[in-house]
Amino acid sequence: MRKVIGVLLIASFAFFVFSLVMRDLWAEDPAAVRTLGQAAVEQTIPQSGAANTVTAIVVQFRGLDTLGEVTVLFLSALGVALLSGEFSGRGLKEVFRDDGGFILYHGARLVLPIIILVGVYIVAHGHLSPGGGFPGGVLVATAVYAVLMTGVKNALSTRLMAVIEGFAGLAFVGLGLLGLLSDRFSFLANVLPKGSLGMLFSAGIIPLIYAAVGTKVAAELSTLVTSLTGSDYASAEKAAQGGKR
Amino acid sequence: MISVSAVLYSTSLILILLGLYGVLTRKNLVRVVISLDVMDLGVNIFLVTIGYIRDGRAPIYLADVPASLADQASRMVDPLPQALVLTAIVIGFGVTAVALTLIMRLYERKGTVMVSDLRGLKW
Amino acid sequence: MVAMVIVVSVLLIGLAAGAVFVRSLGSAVILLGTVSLLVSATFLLLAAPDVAITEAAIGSALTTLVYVLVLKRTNSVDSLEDGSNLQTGKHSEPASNGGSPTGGSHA
Repeated sequence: MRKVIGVLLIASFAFFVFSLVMRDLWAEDPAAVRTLGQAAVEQTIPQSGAANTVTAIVVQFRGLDTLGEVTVLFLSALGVALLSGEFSGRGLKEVFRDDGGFILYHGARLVLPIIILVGVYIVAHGHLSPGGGFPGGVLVATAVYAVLMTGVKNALSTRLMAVIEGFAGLAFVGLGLLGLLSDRFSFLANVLPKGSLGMLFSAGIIPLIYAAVGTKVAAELSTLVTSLTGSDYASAEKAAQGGKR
Repeated sequence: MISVSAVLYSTSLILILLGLYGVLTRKNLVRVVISLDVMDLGVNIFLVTIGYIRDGRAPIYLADVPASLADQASRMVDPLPQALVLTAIVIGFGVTAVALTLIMRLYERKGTVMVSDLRGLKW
Repeated sequence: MVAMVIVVSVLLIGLAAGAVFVRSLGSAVILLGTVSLLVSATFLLLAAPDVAITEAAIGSALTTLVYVLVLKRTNSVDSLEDGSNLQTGKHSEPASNGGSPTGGSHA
């Protein structure tokens, strides 16, 4: 019965949407971008000096949205940590108990510095090549998971990660407040010199903001997954207390 | 010949409908979250397809090629939908992580992840 | 170009349907990771390398990891759609747990 209602709902929704877009569905690809995209592409180098237009949009033209995105990610990591690891008390068990064999154990440790290097490279070159703070931070967090999978107890000090995350977020907002002190008087204005196209030290505060974002994302996601596996310090303490009592 | 945009609009629409059907009819809660994820992917493809132009190139300027900057700019795809999708992907992951953690806590309390067993709100 | 897009799209729809309809939950999660990778390839075909890198890192690596962790902690890696579980071997019992039906009139 549920499936029948589901199919009917989907069919009516599909009919509705298709009848709206039927005419445009078989159109050709457009030959030129629309006005707002055209303005973004043309204004990237004069206003920001970055070679990657998507980075210029994400950090400079729509920088406040990135601040909101970082906040949402922080809230979700907070929610997961509260719900799963530290405060759940009973029912806590470690997921990766054994060390996963020889290849996983030593392979993860061999590959760890390479992953961190690639992640830092992607963060640092966010304004020159595709990537930026978010995938770079995720990559650095992946390095932590590679070691976590080999059953290391207390692999990550979540307190240190919380401190790092707080300071990175503070750095983001601080860089934005720098814009208020300049003559342009706007939050997240690009106040440092723009340099020449394609150099690493160019595009004003964009690499600095992406460095802050990358650090924050890496710390956050490491905390998120560690609290899901139940192998962080606080859960271990709680489990030990529960066992003693 | 069919254009790239037409194929991808249809694909994203089918993905959204598939995900919606999964959310409506599946009984296992984790599968509901999987279907939600499929819907997310469909929406992201749709958004990026909006900015595609015919034979477009990636929206990154190169400093050491013979083409001038204005030349490069005229063949770039629209970077604005890509910036929006960047945010959408990260937030979609946040939603998935919190939803799965809620399911995990539900399992710890009730012992099941099937919707048909959770009758706490019915009377 | 259009041929590549059509092939990737057909694979995408097929594997996504697999992720929603396949019987075992562990297979569904792996199929979701594969769909994420194909979506990242689609983004590459659409000349969006930034988005492709982000989708591959987050959708394929992180999301699959979080799913596997939660599956392990809810013992549902072999859980099937009708409620039976190949791992714990139990069948789902309808309406046996849950809160009290009415609000609880006396303290």
